Amino acid sequence: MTWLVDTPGLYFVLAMLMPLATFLVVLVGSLIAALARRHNYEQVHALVASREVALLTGIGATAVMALAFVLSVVGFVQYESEFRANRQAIVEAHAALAESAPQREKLEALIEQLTDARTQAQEENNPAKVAELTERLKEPRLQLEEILAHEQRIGHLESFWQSARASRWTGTLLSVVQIHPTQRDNPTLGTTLRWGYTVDSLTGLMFVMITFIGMLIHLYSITYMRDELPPSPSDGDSFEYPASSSVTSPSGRFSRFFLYLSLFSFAMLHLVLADNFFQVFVCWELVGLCSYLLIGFYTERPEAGLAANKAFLVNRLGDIGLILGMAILWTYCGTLDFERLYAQIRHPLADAHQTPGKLAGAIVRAEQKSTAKGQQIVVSKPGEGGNLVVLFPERPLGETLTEPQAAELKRFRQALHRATDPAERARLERLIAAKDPSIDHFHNLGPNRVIRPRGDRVAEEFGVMPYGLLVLAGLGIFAGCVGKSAQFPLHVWLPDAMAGPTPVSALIHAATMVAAGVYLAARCYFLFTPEVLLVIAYLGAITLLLGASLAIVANDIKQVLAYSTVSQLGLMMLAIGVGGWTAGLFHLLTHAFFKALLFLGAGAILLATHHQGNLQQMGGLRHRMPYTALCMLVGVLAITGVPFTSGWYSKDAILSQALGYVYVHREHAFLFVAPALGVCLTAFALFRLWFLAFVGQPRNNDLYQEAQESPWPVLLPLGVLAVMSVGVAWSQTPWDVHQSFLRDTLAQAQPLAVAADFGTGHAVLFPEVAAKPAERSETAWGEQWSDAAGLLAFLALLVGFLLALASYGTRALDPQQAPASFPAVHQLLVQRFYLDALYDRLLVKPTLSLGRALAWNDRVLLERGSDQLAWGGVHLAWGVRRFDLHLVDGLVNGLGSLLFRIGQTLRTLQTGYVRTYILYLVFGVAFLFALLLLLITQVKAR
Amino acid sequence: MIPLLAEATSSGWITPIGLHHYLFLAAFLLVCGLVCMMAKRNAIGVLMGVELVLNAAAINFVAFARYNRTFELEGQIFALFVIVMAAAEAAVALAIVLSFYHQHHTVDVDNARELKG
Repeated sequence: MTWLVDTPGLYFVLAMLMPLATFLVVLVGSLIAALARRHNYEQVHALVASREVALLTGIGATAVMALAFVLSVVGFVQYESEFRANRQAIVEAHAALAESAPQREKLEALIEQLTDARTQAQEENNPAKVAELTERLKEPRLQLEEILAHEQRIGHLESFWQSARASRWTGTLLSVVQIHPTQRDNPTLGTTLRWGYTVDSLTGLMFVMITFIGMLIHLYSITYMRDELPPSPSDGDSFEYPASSSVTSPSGRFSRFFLYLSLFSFAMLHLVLADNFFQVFVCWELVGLCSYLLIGFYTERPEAGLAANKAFLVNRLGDIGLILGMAILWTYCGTLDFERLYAQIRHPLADAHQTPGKLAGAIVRAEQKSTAKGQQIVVSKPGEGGNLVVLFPERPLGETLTEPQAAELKRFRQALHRATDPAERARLERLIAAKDPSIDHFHNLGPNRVIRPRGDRVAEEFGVMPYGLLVLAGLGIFAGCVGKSAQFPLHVWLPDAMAGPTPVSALIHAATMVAAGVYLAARCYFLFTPEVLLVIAYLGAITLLLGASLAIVANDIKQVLAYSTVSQLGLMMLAIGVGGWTAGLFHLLTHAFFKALLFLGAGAILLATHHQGNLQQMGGLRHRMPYTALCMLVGVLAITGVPFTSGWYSKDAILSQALGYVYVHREHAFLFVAPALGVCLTAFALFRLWFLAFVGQPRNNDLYQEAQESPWPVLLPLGVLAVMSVGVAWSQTPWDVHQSFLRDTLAQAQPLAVAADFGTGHAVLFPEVAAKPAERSETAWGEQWSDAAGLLAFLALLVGFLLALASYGTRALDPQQAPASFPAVHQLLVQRFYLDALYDRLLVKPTLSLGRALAWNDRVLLERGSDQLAWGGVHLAWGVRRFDLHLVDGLVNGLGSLLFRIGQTLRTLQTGYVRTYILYLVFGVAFLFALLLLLITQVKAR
Repeated sequence: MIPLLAEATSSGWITPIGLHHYLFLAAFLLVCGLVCMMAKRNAIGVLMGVELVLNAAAINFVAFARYNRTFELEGQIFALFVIVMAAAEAAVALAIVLSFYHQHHTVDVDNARELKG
């Protein structure tokens, strides 16, 4: 087991294991309660299923999550400090290397000269001179080695930096399966499904976010789910089992909620910590399962069960693509680890000499061409296509040689190139062969370089993969993200998922689980070819508009928030598609905070209105719940991107990147128009929400009178999240939209691939490394136009806000006018673009009728058929029985009766009369006498 | 008379009495005795038949003794034996008949059907 135990990783792993511990404890507790009830241990059951213990469960889960949060923060802080120290060291080492460059050249020249002279002396068989030259070689070699040690150190630090991981806590913790492809004998090609963890800035931030929001939501749930607590026995009655005391009845459900919530937290944290696809997939499914369990938490509501089914099934549809992508990658790259896949698919940063490549971080395409030497695989120019993708060796070639050996080999090769004398050539070739010629010295790839991939893909060799399959793999993995993050075709489950309890909606369907899709898309960014990125961007844009427009007409408070979540997720995907990797993830983190805030606020409103969530029944609640109203207002400001809230920074980042992208690719102008329009629609929808709920005349007086502020476990998370929604993205200069501590931390985790695809180079070390010149770099243009983008966004926001204010705030415009004027559009929106109906007609109904047909087939055909078979068997059995009876038994019985009859016949001989016996006697004597006579006469005759 | 007999004999129409005459007689008596044994219902009658058979056997013995010089003594002795044995056997048989009568209160042998199968 190769464990590289570095303390930051340990903290994160511990933080991840905390919710698992809670889950196990609560599970054991419920088992004990269930067993106690079954075997009638009243005392035990009364104890374990009591109100106090249930409350303790909730409080304990919250405390554990708080502990996990503390651990995450500590780990993150430690990681960041190590990271920065490391980066500083790299910069210094590079500076030192640059200084010593001229000296190195001189030393190398000197060594070469001396070595040539020595070789010559060897040829002339002059041992004295050979000895002398060897002596002279020692000094320069030592000096060179010192310089090269610098290079190696940079190599180590660089590889750390390139993958931006401070601690790789991996190794075969659990070797689940060892799979070896059958045609290849090389065992290194087999995949071991490993269990490993890896930490970088993204991981750390996600952990902090998840544990923080999780902790707050656990606290919130203690109050929100109080109706599910078991009744306290202090009601005066003697103890008896509650009437419907099962695990699914309200009086036993409180602990179950925390059970599922803990399992979910564990799975989500593990997903973020995972370093290979297999682990991610396991946790992917696990979070899907928890989502199913939690959406369907209120088992007495049929729509909850249906929504849970819908969520799980739609999710699974996406997972088909995910598995397809994983299969393709495994086939061609032989691994499922992110690290190793990245190393194979994208050009390494530098070659064995630490020279950065022009194509560093890019996907290098190649084509099979017929040249003078036959069929060869030639690297294409960056602009042209090619039907193959070059898969790089995981360890850049030449690393297994030490530098002096590599240099020597290089000299020999150069000499071979120069030599014309065949004897000389033969000698040099022998020398090269002696130095292990199977390893080539890796140089950066450029156009027209010929690749010689071996048939067996070894870690030291190049490989190729069809480009179309890489595109397919990327699309497949993105399909998984589409399902999980509710993007356009598979978004239908998220609005229905609001049938679950509000804390669930806040944690899972706003902050974390749906973010898992975006997280995976970000982690797998390196897989995505430009076509796939375009698809991602367009789907994100469509989803963005879809969600925002549906939010406008929704009447249930949680539905509005659900649609806006869909919209914001579309925005994040769009960001990733246009090259705003950091921007998209930045928005993910800020969105988690303000969306959780909005959902928790909605939950507070639901608590006040007795779970009646229709916006048309509310109004003027801010007089009854001022604190909640204020927090919700902060949330609405943040989501719409009002300046100085966290949403402003992230939306600005995304919009400027989008504008830069559109500036370079004019044909995709939709990709900027969509988010701009989306900002307007989002603003309108959310301000509408706020105005309808909190402002104006109460439309339902009973509701209004009963509404009141919720207890402190509800209000505290609201307040904290409100503060975070505003301040989480701040830096030391909050008025500067480009400066954000969070964003800079995220930028450390950005893979080189993003920079290679969209412009600006390796910001810290090699700024000149860029696959694109500055004029074509989307990122550079985005930075240039960011002010314009921000202004446009603000204008859109203003338009939306004013419209909402006019319609729902001051009632200057009549909100009923729009549906009346555009009835078709309104109907389209209310019917959710008929997508649900379409899916129903296209997928659900055929599946159900297929199911019915198969059931009929089973019941009627198969069952009858098997019945007929059974009857046939029965008849056969009867026939055999007859045979048995008649023949076999007949034989035996016949024999018996025959003997009986013989006996009976013989019996008549015994008459009992003496005279008869005398007669027999006389006959016997006569017979004997006759016989005797016969014999005598015969004897006499002879 | 004697000159008549002597003349009939010498002219051949009175043959001298040979062995076979006695054997025929004995056989005839035997058969009579057997038939008497078989046909009589009375036990005493059966015993009479037995006597006839035994005496037939005795006649056979004497006949052979008369016409065969080898056996002239043995035949006679054996006839004596037969008579004694017949007497003994008659005694025993009468004892059986007595016991039979004691049980069945009749001497009808047809009543002795205990061994009927």
